[in-house]
Amino acid sequence: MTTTVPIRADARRLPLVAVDHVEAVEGGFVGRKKVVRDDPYLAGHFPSLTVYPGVFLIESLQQMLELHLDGALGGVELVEVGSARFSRPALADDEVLFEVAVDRDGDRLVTKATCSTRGQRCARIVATWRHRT
Amino acid sequence: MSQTHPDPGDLLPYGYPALHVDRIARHTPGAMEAVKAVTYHELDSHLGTARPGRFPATLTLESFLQACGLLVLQESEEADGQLLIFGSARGVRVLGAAGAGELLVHSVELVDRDEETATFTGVSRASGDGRIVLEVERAITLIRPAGSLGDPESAA
Repeated sequence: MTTTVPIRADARRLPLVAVDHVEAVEGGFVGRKKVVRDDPYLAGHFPSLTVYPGVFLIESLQQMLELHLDGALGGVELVEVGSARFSRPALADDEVLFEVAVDRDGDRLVTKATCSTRGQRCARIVATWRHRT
Repeated sequence: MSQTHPDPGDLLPYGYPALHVDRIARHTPGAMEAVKAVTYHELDSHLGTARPGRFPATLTLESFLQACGLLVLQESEEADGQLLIFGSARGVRVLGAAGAGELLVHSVELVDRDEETATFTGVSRASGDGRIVLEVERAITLIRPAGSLGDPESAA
């Protein structure tokens, strides 16, 4: 998959770019990711219907945070998912909107994300991250 | 290699490259050990030139959740036509990563089960030195008919 998003050479990430756009807002950022039916990685989930996996929402959140902080992918590691709740599936052609508050906790970052598709909440994720060393 | 448990590919509805469990190693009522092999063959598509190759945290969690799904499906009388959908989780702690050449070994335990939900706890270890790479305090999966996936009220 080609992309124009900068990626650190030592990045550890999924084989897909899980973010389309990130915009800084007061206290955090807003990100967007469209679920693409013919993305090779989604071919198997599921073979008969494209559903963006819940853990990919966490991956999208990570990549959005990386772009927000560094302007490139690959600079952040997941420490903990404090809580995650998935209430609706993100299907092919859905655009997932991430509204994310970012707080610092010492050398860690805590994100509180609300994800929505078609104006309805599909997930809430509270996670802790650290910069890669 | 003798095969005393069902093949994960026969129980889980995922196709390539979304299936992240290779083998059920042990199953007792309410508990399962399931294994994924981590290789550069797969990691290179994830990592490009990054070395050493380590399995990404989000896919480690996905693999753990698939092991949970295998446990419920293995113990269901009507596994055909059922899907396990990731509903919620808390206390998921990433303590490390399995590297190329290691096995990712999930030990999952069924904490509670009713008709529509199943609650799990467990850990994932890297086989090289047995270190814990993932701890999951609670993960809840929703049990749904396969045909409900297109229903927007279903979870992810």
